[in-house]
Amino acid sequence: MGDIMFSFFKSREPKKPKRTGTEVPEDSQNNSSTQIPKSIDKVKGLLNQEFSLCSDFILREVLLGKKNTRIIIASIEGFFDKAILAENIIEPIINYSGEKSYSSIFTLLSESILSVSDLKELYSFKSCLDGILTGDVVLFIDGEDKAFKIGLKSPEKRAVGEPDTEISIKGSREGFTESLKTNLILLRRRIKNTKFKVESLVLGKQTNTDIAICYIQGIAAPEVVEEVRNRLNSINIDAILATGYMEQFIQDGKMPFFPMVGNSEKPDKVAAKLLEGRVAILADGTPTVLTVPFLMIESFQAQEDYFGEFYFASFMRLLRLMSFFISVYLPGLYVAVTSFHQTIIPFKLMLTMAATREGIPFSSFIEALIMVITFEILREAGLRMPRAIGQAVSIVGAIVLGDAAVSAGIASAPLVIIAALAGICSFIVPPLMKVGAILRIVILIAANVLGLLGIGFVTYMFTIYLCGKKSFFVPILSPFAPFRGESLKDSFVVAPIWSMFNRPRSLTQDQNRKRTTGKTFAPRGSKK
Amino acid sequence: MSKVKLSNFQLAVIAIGYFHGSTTISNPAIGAKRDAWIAVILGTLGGFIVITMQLYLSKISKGKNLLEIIEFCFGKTTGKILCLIYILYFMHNAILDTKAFSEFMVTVSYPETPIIVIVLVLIIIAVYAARSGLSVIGKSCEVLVPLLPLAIAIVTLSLLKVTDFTGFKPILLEIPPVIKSSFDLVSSVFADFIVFLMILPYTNSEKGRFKATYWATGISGLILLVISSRNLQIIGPALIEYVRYPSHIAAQLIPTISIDPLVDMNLLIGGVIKVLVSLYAISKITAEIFHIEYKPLVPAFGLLIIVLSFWAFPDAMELYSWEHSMGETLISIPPQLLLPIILLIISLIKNKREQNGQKSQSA
Repeated sequence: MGDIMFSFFKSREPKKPKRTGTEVPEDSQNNSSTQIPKSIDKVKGLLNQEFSLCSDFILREVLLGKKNTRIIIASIEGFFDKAILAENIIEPIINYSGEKSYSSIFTLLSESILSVSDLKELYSFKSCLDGILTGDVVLFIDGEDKAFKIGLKSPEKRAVGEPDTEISIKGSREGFTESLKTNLILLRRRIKNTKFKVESLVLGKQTNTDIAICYIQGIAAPEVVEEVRNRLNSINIDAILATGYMEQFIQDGKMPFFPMVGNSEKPDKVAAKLLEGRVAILADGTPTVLTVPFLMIESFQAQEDYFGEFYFASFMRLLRLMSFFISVYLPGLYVAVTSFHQTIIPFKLMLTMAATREGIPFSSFIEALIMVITFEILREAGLRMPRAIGQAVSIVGAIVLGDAAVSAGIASAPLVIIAALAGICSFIVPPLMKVGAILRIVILIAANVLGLLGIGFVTYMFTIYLCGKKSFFVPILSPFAPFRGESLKDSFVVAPIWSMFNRPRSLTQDQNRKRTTGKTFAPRGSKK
Repeated sequence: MSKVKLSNFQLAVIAIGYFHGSTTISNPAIGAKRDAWIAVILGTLGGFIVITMQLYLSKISKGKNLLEIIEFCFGKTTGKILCLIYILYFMHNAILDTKAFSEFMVTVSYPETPIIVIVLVLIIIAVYAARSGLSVIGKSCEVLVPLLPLAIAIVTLSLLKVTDFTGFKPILLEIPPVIKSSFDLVSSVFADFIVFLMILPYTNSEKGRFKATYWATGISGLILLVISSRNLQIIGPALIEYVRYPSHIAAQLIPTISIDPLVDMNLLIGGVIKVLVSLYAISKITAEIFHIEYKPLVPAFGLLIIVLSFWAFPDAMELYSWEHSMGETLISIPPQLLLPIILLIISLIKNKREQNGQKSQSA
């Protein structure tokens, strides 16, 4: 629907590809105007001009050897340990007495003086600036049009801890952090394979954020990887402060109603998704990793489903599906039944319900709307408020939602149960929580207008809408539509992990689909 | 030619939804009263014959759709004029189904709602789905059509406690109504498969078409059989004559709980698929006659269906009398049976001539 209605938003002009993380192609493109000046005074002037009013900028000038070659060390404070800079760079330079013969000052510095591991040569002033801004130390040498970039970064970071959003009882407790490098290590530790590829990218005109595209070569469909690359490269935006910024750019459709990109904070989950043929996108500064293509069924999958008893996992999967539908439909169904189809309600229940509704001045629709919206307010308050007030709000919420509304004659008791049940059910499927909240209200309105027919109408329209949606060439309702019998093993039920012989067909390359050859059952009594 | 690919499973599912359609509202086999089950069996067998003929017609014309087959047989101009018959016929089907669905809804569940609202709900869904294209139609049917047999199974199983089977006796007291209602069934349910000639060329394997369609026909026949014998058992042969919507009454008779409104929602699925397929075919044929895009035509024809449904069948009685008259069967004979047979013969002859021509050329 969005595609048709909002086609006037289509004017997304084609963009030029952005810079890549590697330095060489960029330098070769650069023209002479951004070359590093040979005179050290000019460099100093330029740097001071660029970093004027930046109090965290450090510029240190030292002299090398007997010739007293002037060297400028430029960096930003706080990205690294100052002692390391002093010990490994400044001290050797100052102490150098100049006995060895050397062809150029560059080889001398890199081969005999600087005791650091991460050393790169830079050729353009622009890349020097980028280097300084990303936390590297840049060395300018008098009389040279090249500079050194030295990586000393040991950034401040949060320790790897359990993510609050995705709790697991069994399995890994690790969660991604804000540091891209740490996150990549977390993934690499799980997939020790050269086929696990990490492509890097810099996005955001002002922020210059590091982005990494991860996939497993040979499993992920190449056209999806290519498409991810293209879509990321065509992003033209000031700032990428979180992966969520990219999410809106790369998802299919202008205004998709349902989530089209997966989010996760758990490395084991992302690793599993990579191994199924998905592509992960990481950004520096965000613990949330994006995975594409995203299918609806992924919202209902949990990492723990694959760890233990498959029958229990299947039960849980069904329960999750059911609770999503309960959370979306229950208030609407209540309104439809009470205002259009009273015959559905068993007679005795109807009597009780009539008794509870006796003193209520509103129609069941208004009543339901009030309760559903109150619940949403409480939910949002619980999320945003400072933790210290939490207790107070939840007590007030419980009393408002529970007792007071009923005794004040604003809502009937059955409706309190329904609103609370719908609300709680929506927490079971976090990726669809936001969609669910909107859908619940849409269905509530439809139910008030046309009863069950209205609910049917909305459901049918959304089904058609969803059937037309694709996330990176994969229909998001797969494996239900298009129906893939084999992939049903991991849909509303979970088959034992040894029986999921193949990777999902819709995601992976055809020739490389075998995941396991199954389990061999040893005959009874046989021992090795 | 557009390269929309429909899997055979999707074809089968659309066909089941299409056959099932509005039969829950008005099962044509009910005319045979206590021998309805015989009429259903005969009708399904007849359906198999007609559908085989239509499938064969599609098969020998190698990837051509209905319009292209007619143009191939009769030439460009005559073909286009003949296509008008099909446009009108599909339009008639769509109108009939729209009206049947909306009259049912108004009579049973929404006596105070203006009928135009119900019609609009149906047409909006159909237009949106038809505009979204064939692959979306296929996928949405995959999701929704399995709910149809599920609902029937629930109702039937809840009523299983009936153990008195005397309702079937005496068998075949009168033969003419059985024959008539089985013809009715063929003409109003199975032979409408002719509309699928617009869809068949876009399925991904030629081999599976026959199998998928036969499965769909068989399952639909089975569903009809279950429904009609269940209704006969539950309501009784004496009363069934006077009941307009037996399936609905049957759902109401489930002890302690009445889930009939929920069951009626199934009609939304069936009714929409019937209208949707007709709408898609009408727009597609028209668009191909004039060599234009079909999507803008869909809402236009949708609107036309709304207006015509009020014009053609102003009230439920009119609809009832038309559904049960010979007229409906008679006007469906030319597009369902006569023209396809003629087309089949002509294309067989033409194909043979072409083959001979090729042979003589190569020789």
